[in-house]
Amino acid sequence: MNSTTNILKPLLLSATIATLLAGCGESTTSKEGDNFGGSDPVVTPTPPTTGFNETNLLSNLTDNVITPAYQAFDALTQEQELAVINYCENPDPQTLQAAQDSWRNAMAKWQQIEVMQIGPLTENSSTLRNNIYSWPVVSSCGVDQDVMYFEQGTINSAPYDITKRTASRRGLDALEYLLFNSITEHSCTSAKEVLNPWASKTDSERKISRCNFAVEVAKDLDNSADLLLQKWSGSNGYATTLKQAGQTNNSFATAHEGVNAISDALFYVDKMSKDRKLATPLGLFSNSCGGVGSVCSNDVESPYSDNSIANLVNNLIGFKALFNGEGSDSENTLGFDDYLVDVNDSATSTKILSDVQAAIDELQGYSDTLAQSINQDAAVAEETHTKVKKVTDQLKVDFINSLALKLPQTAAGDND
Amino acid sequence: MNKTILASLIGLLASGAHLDANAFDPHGRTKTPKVEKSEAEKTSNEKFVEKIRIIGHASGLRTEAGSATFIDEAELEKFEYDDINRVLANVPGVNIRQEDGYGLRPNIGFRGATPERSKKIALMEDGILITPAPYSASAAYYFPMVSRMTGVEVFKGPASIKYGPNTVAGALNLTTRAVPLDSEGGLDIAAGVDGYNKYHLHYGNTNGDFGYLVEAMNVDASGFKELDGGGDTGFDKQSYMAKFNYDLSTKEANQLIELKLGYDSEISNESYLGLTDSDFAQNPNRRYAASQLDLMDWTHSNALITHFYETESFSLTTRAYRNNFERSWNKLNGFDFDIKLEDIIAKPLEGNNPDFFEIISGQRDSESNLETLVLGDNAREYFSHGLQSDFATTWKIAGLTHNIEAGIRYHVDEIERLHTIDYYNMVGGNLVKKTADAPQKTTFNTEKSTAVSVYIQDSVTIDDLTLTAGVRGEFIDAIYQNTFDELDWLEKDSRIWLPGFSAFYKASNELGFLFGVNKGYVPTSPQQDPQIKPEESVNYELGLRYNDSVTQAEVIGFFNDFSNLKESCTFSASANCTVIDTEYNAGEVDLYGIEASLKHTFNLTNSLDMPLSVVYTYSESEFKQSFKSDFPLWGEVEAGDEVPYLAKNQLTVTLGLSANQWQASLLTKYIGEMKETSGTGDKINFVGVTTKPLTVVDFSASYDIADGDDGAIYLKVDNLFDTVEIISHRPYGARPSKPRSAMIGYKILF
Repeated sequence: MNSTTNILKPLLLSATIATLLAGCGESTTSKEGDNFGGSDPVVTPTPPTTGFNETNLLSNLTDNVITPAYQAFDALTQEQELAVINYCENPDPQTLQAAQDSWRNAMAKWQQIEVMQIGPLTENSSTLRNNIYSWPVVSSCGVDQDVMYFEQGTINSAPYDITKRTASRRGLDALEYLLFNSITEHSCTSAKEVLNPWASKTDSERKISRCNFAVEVAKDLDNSADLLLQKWSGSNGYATTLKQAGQTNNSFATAHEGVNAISDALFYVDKMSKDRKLATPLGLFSNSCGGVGSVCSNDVESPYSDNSIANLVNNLIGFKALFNGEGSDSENTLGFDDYLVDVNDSATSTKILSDVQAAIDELQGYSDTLAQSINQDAAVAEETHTKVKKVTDQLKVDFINSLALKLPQTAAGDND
Repeated sequence: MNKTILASLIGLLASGAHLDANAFDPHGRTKTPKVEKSEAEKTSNEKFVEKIRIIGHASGLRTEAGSATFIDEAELEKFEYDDINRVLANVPGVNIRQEDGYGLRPNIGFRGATPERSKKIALMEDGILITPAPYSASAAYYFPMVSRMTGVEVFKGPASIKYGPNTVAGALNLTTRAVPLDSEGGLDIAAGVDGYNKYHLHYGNTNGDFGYLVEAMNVDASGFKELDGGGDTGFDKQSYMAKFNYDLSTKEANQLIELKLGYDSEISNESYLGLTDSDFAQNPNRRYAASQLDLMDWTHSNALITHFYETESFSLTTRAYRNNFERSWNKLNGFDFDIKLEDIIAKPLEGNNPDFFEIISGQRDSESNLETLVLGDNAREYFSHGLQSDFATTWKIAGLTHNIEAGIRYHVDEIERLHTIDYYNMVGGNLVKKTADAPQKTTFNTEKSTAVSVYIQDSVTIDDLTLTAGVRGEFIDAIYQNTFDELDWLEKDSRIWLPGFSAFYKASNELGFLFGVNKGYVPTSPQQDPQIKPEESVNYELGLRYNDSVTQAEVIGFFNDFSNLKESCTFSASANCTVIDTEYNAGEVDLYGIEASLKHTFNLTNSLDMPLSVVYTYSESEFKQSFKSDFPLWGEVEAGDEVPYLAKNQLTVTLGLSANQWQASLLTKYIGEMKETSGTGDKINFVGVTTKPLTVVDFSASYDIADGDDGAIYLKVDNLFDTVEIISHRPYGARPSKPRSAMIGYKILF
């Protein structure tokens, strides 16, 4: 018995040591290079502990900036529908011009909303946003095919229904092609059975066909704008969800998460305005004309209407409105600029606002279209790109850090 | 000796000029007599072979704690599986995510540990870590060819501290063919549906003190998937191995030195691209045109020198090893646009997805720059080498026997990434390269680990109680360096001790109870930020074991308490990773369950047996805290949610009939439903989606010709009832289980 006890002692000791060690974790020491950090995971930061009322910020941005923008767009799509109908019923240069103007007006508001994509515009793989405007995913060949499908009234033996068609055949991008494209040949480079009758049509018949489909697209756009408002407004609308962020059963666990959702939307100016609308045609990224370094005016936005400069300006106007909170109520202008001041970073606030204005001023000074400018002297557009980049550089670093916001996934891989 | 002409010819062919009379002693493999030798009768070679196995070969009640399963050569041959996933159906506590149907890239986990690329288990061949870079990149993109293995050992619980570095789950050891004591060779040829062919030849002998073995194997198939527009979806794997040993034994000591050389290669037309659910419903074996150039092409070579020394008082096994692995893995990454393949396949009718889906499926040509397809070659070069010694001795102190085992390993491994991308257009259903430009370089970096590990374990038996305590130390120096940016580097030194304790109480000669606890650990890879914690857990097990020589049973409850469960975002896990190979923390997670096995052989008549095996695993998992993660398999997780891809219930029943000249077996495996995504969120796919329960029945039979003298013919049918379900929606869309396949083969030992 004594010997057994003697032997058990070391085993008990081992077991005790084992138990103690179980409580110990790994010890790690490390050192890193100046540029290490590319693989850091995105983590949810802790909100700053200030007295700033994030719920009030959400309320102002929702009620006085986003909602009025959505409402204005809805009204403009109604006007657009009437203008397109009028053009098709009375086709002449004046009615065409009126239809085109109505498109530019709707597009101007929409380009502001592009920077306000949240809730209904991002859910379901951004289906509603793409149905309204799917750029850069566009297909002029697809639109021409749908012109014919619509005219036939059937597709694959089923009645034609635009709501069941892919986004690249609907929305503002399709309508631009239908209203502004003066070339009457169809855009497809390979044979499409549905376009077989196209060759036997006169130019006039082709225009009528496209015009008829334009009416359908304009109606669909109006419906989509209605749907957006419907999903946004009302007691169960997304605007309410956003304003009540942090309350029980709200999809945002905290108001800060709601603020982060709006911050995510601001990054449109980085990925789309800066990278897609400027850097891509400038050849800073690979484009339709080739790899990096190939300037490609074909890749500018809104090529048929030459509206790309106005689009960029409106992106920045939309950005600015969300940032400084200046919307429909001049008494309430609570915005991200105030939040930055509250966390003692008024420098970033001032810098972003002045840089945005500088970029807007620069763009409004263009006398040529963006495509023309790129073809004549790419350095001009490169300067514009630099100005927009100043804004997004601030956004990615100082803005995010000062407000303890999480960078959107799409911005985590830096394309700069 | 009764020789047949065929066997003689094959023997002659395989053994060359150095034949003796015994080399022509043909017998069917199934008739090979197995006589247990006493310890004294065993040669150095036999003792060495036993030593490199983890699990003892004794036929009585084993007294080690921990759930251990050994599948021997006869068992492996019963179903002639090439797929480790199917082999492991007979092992309790194994969770698997299937992928390609052939088991080319297995995903194996134990006791609920993430199965992804088998990266959480200690994967070994002949006791040597065989993953291309076990410390720096533990994902097992290389997996040894199972068809040439003569044993598969699975070990879970405290004994895993002897292996490492990964100790959260357990160890899987594959044993290769040993150098035979006498002239022995074998030939195995088989052919089956979907262009399946297998050729396997081995021969070895021991002449005096010198022994050798050569082995060659080829397995290929044209594949069961149907590529849009036609094309090969199969694979071609080759494996060569040679062993040479020399017996240096003296009266005082057994001593053997052995050299093993191996070379393996694989070319497989595999893809990460799956199907939309609606296309799967129409034809689960379809493959979209955009996957037509996907190709895995790798080579693996290894060398192992072993020195085995044993006296009456101790044994020492020292091994020096080197493994090289190179691969080119060219596959569809997606589009040259910010839209993800997984999203397109998961939601083909939403947003802009329909336009891009038409390109993937080849219905439409690429029309714009956005519709350019990006194919990425994740080319990588790996190596690992090291030196390890395992020492075992017995000390008697105060009348009690202490079985001491200790080991030390110096190990270095490295992964060098040489990733490139190319741009293609879809034109008329074919991928056409856009430019003649050289591939664009993307991720180029190196991760390297230098690790010293030690373990010591003491086992003592006091009356009916066997107690074992041990500890493992891992000391890892890791370096990451970006090839393109000399300032992007990280150096990390990690140190950890991993204790384990187990007890076995022998209630009778047939029945015993076991308990064990050990610390689980998986190191972070060298490039992970130091703020990413390693995976750590405390694993408990409690169970009983029964063996009366006729019936064997084991029931073990396990509870793995993870203080931090970790995942990494890879292309194979999902397309939707922001940064490839980023690791994520989930914090506290509990994994627990029961694993049970039962084996019994009914003697129906004097010459007819009916072996029965039942293996059951019940697994539960639970995140202990709520969190939001960008890891696409987690999303927004609520405390209480399950981990993905873990079936609650798994059951395998194998029923056989075995006579003197023939045997037939029927294996039925049931895998319950599995959640494909743990949490919720609008940015992740397959929320609330589960794989359907899957029951697959495999049949095999063999017949010995002329009592085995002329070999044996065998027939097997996998998935007898052709049950096909979605086994996973990852990486990009629905992937089918393997459909019915049949093969017939002939094998002979000579």
